[in-house]
Amino acid sequence: MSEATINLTLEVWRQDTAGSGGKFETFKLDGVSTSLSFLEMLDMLNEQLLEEGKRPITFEHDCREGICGSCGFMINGQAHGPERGTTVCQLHMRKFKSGQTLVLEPWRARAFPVMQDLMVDRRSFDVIQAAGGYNSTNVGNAPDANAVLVGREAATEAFDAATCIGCGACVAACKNASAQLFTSAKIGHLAMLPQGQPERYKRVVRMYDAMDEQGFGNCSWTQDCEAACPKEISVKWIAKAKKDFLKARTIVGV
Amino acid sequence: MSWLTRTLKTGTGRKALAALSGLALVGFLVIHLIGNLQIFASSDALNEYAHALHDSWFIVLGDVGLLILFPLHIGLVLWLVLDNKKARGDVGYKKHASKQDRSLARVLASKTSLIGGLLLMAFVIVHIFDFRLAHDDLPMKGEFKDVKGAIIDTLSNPLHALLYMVGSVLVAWHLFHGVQAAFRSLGFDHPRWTPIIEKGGLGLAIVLAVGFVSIPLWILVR
Ligand code: HEM
Ligand code: FES
Repeated sequence: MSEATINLTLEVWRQDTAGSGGKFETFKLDGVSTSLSFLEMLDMLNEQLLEEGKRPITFEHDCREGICGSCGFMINGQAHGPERGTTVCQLHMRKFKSGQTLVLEPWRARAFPVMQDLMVDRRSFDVIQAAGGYNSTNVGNAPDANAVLVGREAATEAFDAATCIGCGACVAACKNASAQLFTSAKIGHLAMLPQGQPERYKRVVRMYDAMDEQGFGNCSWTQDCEAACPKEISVKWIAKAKKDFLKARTIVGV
Repeated sequence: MSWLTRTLKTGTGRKALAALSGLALVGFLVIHLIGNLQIFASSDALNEYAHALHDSWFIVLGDVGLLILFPLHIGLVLWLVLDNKKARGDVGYKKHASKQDRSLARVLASKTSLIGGLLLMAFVIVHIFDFRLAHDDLPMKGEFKDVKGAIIDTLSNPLHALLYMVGSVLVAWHLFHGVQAAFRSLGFDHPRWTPIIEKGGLGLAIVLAVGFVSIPLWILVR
């Protein structure tokens, strides 16, 4: 049985270095197997560019199985492409039609400066995480599994928030380039667990302040972030984190 | 820095205050509608109500309250909007599309809250000149100032009536998004109550739209 293939036109953002500015470059790519992943399709294009002696397209990737959060860019204006709950590395070419034109752009946010082509610098996420997304007390080895009892619902919910891979799609999709979904997921999973309680209010204030300082926007409750999230993390975490933040500032006094 | 300045320095704090002022404005709007609907009473109920209102401390509370709430709400949201515009950076998207499966209306209501809000502001300014500032000079009808007559006079002009219908729909559209957003901005989230608040906001928006539109419409077709 012969394998199905499609022909594509790709309009890709090309930028040599950070701050250099860039422009779109158009490529034709024929005979793309529909069982390739989106990144494998770009690998195929890059092979061709190398053969022609041109600079290949830079994009970030690592695990290629949807769990590390390295990959991600806009495909026709949609973060990680048209399929929901998926990273570009897990998106397959069978989702596209032959003859389609795909516009590939990097995440756009002041806090995510483009480094090259489709790759952005997401160190601003690290700054938010480092501001308080952990427990500051070193308690030695991991305790016995059931030494600290956690209810079933709390454990599942905490896990839902903890599935955030920090890819940045929420910021990219948000009309305000807000990092509320990322930050609130990181705050939320610790707030659900007993281990997160001692530093709960200090954490939310520090992480929210870091988020503002990095130059992300505010939440308008458009909910594009949730729809773009490859882990389908709910906007309910934003409301929960806001509650903790407002309580920390007004009642707890952090 | 006090806890208040520290809170208002953050986007989340400003958003919460914008939500509080917005909800207070919603409260005003509901009372305003109940008052206005007395125009449909056959007697001069509206004139008597307006008289009682302007004779009491309630009018001072309303005037001063609105004079604070409106600029506060608008100032806070414009400040947030400026931050939001800056956050995208110098180069925007060539293409930007949503992946949502919520209703298009809900998504649009959110995305149009700035332009809708600004149009609403323009309408409110016209509205204040039309009625609030004209109140003191109204002619008497019997014991009371003829507010009802003035409204019918003004809105008998079809273009003016149309403006009021558009204004009414605009505020309803704004609150269709705004009510649920305000609760969320204040940190309220609940698996059972949040969906009820969403539906309640829609219900309130419909009641406000139908209620306020009914007045110019009735005057036109009377
Ligand atoms: C007249 C001029 C007005 C302007 C320019 C305006 C503008 C805005 C904007 C831009 C937002 C969204 C902010 C964001 O997306 O981040 C908003 C939210 C809101 N507005 Fe207004 N608005 C106006 C009047 C009103 C009125 C009359 C009411 C109530 C009767 C109201 C109630 C609300 C509420 C409840 C929210 C939700 C707050 C939140 O998102 O947490 N607004 N407004
Ligand atoms: S490369 Fe790891 S999530 Fe896509």
